[in-house]
Amino acid sequence: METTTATTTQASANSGIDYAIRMQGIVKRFPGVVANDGIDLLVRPGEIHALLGENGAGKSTLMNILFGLYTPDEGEIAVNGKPVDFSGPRDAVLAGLGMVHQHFMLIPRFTVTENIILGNEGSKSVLDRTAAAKRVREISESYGLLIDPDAKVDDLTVGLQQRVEILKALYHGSRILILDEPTALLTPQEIEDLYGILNRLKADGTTIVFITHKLKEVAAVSDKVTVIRRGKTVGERITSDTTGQELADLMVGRGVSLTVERTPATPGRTILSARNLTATPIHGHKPLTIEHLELRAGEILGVCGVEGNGQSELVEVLSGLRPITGGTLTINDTDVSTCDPNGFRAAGLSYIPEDRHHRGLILDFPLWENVLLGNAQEGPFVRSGIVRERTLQARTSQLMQDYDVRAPSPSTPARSLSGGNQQKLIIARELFRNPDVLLAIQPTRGLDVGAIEFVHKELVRVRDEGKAVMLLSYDLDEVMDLSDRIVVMSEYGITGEFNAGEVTRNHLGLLMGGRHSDDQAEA
Amino acid sequence: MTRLKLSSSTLINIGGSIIAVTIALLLGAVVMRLSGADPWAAYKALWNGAFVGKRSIAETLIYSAPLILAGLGFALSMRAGLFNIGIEGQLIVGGFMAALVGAWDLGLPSVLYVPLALFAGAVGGAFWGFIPGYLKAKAGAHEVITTIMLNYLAMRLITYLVLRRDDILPVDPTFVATKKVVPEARLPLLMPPTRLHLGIVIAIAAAIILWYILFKTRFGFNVRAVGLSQGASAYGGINWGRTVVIAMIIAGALAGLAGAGESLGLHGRHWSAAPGYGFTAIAVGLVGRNHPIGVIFSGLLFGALNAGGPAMQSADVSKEIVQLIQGFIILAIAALEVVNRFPAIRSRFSRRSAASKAGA
Amino acid sequence: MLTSRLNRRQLVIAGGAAVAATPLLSRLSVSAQDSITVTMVTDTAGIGDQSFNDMANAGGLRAQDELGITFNVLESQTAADYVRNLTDAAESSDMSIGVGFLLTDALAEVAAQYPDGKFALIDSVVEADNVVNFLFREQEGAFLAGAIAALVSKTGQIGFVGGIRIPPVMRYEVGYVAGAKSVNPDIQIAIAYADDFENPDKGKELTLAQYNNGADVVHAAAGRTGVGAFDAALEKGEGFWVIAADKDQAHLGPDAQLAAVIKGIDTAVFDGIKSAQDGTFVGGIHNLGIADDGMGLGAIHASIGADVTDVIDAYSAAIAGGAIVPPVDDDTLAAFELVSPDAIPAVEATPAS
Repeated sequence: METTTATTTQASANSGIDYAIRMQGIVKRFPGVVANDGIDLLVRPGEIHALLGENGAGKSTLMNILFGLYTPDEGEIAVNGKPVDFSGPRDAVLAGLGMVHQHFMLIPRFTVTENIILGNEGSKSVLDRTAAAKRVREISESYGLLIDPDAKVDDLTVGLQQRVEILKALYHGSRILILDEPTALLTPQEIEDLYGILNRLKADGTTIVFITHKLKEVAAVSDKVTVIRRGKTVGERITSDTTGQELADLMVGRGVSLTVERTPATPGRTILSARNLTATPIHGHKPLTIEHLELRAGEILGVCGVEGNGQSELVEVLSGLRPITGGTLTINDTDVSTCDPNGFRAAGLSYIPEDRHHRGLILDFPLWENVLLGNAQEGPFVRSGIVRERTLQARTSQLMQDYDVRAPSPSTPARSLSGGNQQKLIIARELFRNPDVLLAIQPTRGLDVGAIEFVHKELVRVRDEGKAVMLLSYDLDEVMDLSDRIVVMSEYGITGEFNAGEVTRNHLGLLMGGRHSDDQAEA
Repeated sequence: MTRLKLSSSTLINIGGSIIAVTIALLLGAVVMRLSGADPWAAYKALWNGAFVGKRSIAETLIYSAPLILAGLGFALSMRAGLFNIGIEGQLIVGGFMAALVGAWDLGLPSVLYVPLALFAGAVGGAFWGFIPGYLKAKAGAHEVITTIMLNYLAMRLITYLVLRRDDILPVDPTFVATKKVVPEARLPLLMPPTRLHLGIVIAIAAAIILWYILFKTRFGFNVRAVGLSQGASAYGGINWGRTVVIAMIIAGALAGLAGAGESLGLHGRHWSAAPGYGFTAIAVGLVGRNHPIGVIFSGLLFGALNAGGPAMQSADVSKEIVQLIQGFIILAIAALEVVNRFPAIRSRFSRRSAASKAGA
Repeated sequence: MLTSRLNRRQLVIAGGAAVAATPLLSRLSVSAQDSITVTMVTDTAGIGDQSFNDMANAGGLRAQDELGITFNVLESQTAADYVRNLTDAAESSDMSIGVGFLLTDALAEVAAQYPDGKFALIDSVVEADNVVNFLFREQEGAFLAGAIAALVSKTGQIGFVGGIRIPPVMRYEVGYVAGAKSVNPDIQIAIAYADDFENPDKGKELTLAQYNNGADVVHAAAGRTGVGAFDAALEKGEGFWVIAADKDQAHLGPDAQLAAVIKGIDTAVFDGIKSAQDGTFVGGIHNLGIADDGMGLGAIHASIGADVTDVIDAYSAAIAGGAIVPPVDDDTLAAFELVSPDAIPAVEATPAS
């Protein structure tokens, strides 16, 4: 331990070590790409350190290197002052590291305890479940990670599953916790709870690396932030000394606008109208019931709510994917209640689905074939059942230019595009038909700041062109920033409707919680 | 724009198939060596049996024709997202139907009789493909189960008909087969005195037509979209059930044509003993990466193995070795597929190569 | 086409027994050679079928040992291989042998293409002057099998498991029934077909069902499917018998095999090769039965006493002598007059004893 004692600053809580994690000059090359190109990351013991960067900046590669999943081509790593050369995650765990992945590594049919002790069953061939459950309970109580050790993971909410992952790391003795995009799947309430947990862990001396691309989260929870862009460290700041604008500019590499500029809406005629709408339920869910919903020209209607309250059903009904069992649905005064998605499109609807990979695109298809998706009726692209490839390719090239879709050619497979470029392609495809109504479902999910800015501007532009826009998002801030009118979804119905500016965040939050508003008020 | 473009992924696929075949041949050599045979002599016999001389080449083409057609059927169903194990059943129903029509002696001239008998084969196969397609679309019945059942059903049904219903059908219980197809319904020979018949031309034409349908038409687009992503194709307004049913009908028709070619071209009757081509077709489709043009080449490869295989017996290698090599090819393809599909394994490979690079 | 039709008529005139070659057909000049090459082509069941492929192979191997010829085997994987393998055989050898009725079309095609080649066909007929065909009167051996089954059965119920009801198997069936009923007109005979020659599981299942319904002797004429009958008998244990078809299969269960109908395919193949070797080859049809040593009942279990075997011997002699003509199909079976053991015509038996 060769610490150059003397002047090293305040940090080092209990051990006198400068850095819990010291990664210097990390280089990792993949065929054709340099994912990490000389990254430095210095994390002091006991701090919450945000690692901020756009998608594809190299955050996950860096963390996979730290956790022993990849071997770096160049660079040095030290944990708690000791140089390390992990050959796998097991070494990393032994060195006191714990990682909570974006997609949880849990076995749904096992209980919480069983999942936690997995991989650390002890030497005895018979599991001492009772003892293990007791330890799990102890740890969970000491950090306020309240959870039933005997519950099946299957039955837990996403937020609680994440707790299991954190508990698992702690149970395995981790004092350094790496969280990869931990808020991606959480509701606003669960995010608040997570912040509380992280602060308690910090108070207990746990070091936390928090990977994110969301500025708000950096400000909310971190002490320090390292920004990386295109595989390089571009800055390290103390969170309290910086601004969101500075971080955004660092992350994107240019000046970006964080606020959506828009003029007040001038709503026109009703374009989409739903009355007493009911639909066949998804297996095991409640049936959707919408008494009244209208989309008007020239306005953005925001739909907020906690995920799983009927949003998927609503979107499927409004796009023709789910059969309607009762009520009326009209687009441009055309009754579409018995139409398939093609009928909805013909009536003037466009739809940006929430799941780019499984709905919006066919990843193995080239871009031009993705443009054909939903546009394959007889017309400019298809004559007598034959696809007019040249017309389609030319149109795709044009759209790529117009919407700044960065890809080598229209024949590039959609899979190889970044999330932002994929989303731009979908938006381009949905807008070139010049629809009257646009459903935008979580249109910025998983996108980085630059792409979010583009999508938001585009939604406002479409509105200003006099189209009706419905924005459904689980990010309450996004809904509040963009919408002219807001409806709240809860328990498979619409439980409130407000004009923008006439409702507070708190009030919306309460309505979103539905019956559980009392609990939420306490929390 | 109807020229074939070779994208990088196509090249990777071709490379993968070639590697798989090479690995399989090497494994086959090891097995032969272990069993005391001379692999070099055996492969030489295989090569001679498949490619040297007019008759060998004709034989390779003869064996390839049904494999290509059946392989196309499998490939098309795979493109639509269905693992159609029922090619065998579709093939024998097609072969049986074609032979029945051909043996009935309808007194037609060749120009009418041959197309009619081929059509009967295609219809028979198409019907046998329609059933699992319809059950899948309407009731969600898994095609693997239904097609296996239909294979058995086809075999039993045809055995019953040829053994017991010679009262109404032109069948010959003595041979457990249909009666001989009349000369007017036989596929014309291309290269006498070899028995090479029109089947190979039909197979290659079918491959080119299928390529066009798959990659140049809306229906083909729908099939591929449905096979790759049910969510996205529903979003795109593509009727999944209809697409699946039509794809299965065409797949069955292709398999039926394969059987018809055997009945009308090669054997001149339909034997109730199943040739097993329907199962080889699965391998043909997989090695050809379910691409019609790829299927031509993998069909020729398996055809050559089948045609040259018997010749290996002269090098004291049993007929089972050829089947073993075919099995190795399938295993190698599957192994490569696993490496390609699962990023965790691939990263392990690249990790190792990165590590070795770092070490060097 | 015309000639082959003509040939058939002449063959029919010549009658079914013994060598039926007419002078017209035997104009082939055969030069005797020291050592010839013979290639046998199997059907898809191949070597190991416990039936005609194995027996033909045995005959070929015997010819290789005793006559010094070169004997090769080409096994076929699919029906498409028949023509190819027979062509290869015709190209590379002096005589080509096709084993099994499945090769009929293929052998006809190849024999026409190689008029100077010599061909032999087992269990089927191709009418051409360069093809010698070997058929067997299965009904004669099966008659003896039926007789011994009826004599040994304690329950008065016996069974028959067939492969596919093609003519040779049908002849087994009707011969068996005629033999059994001759011994015991009241005997109950269960008859089942697997519709498959290569499915031992099915054979076992059908045999077990017959045992469980009261049969204690089952005759299996089903190729490899018949192997399952032995499994069934071994599972049931003592008192349950199998009568094998085509060849002695005692190795499958020495104490389960009551007897075996022996079909002289090996001898036929040997004789065919010998004729080619010594230059006496002529095309035509050989229809072999007990009198030609082409059929018989053998491998009778040691526990069976002379009271039974004497009866069998008497029947055998009567058939060989032509005093009993077992039926060959359903019609002849219906018309067949039962011959009880007490009434076996002794005239034909006397010269032998």
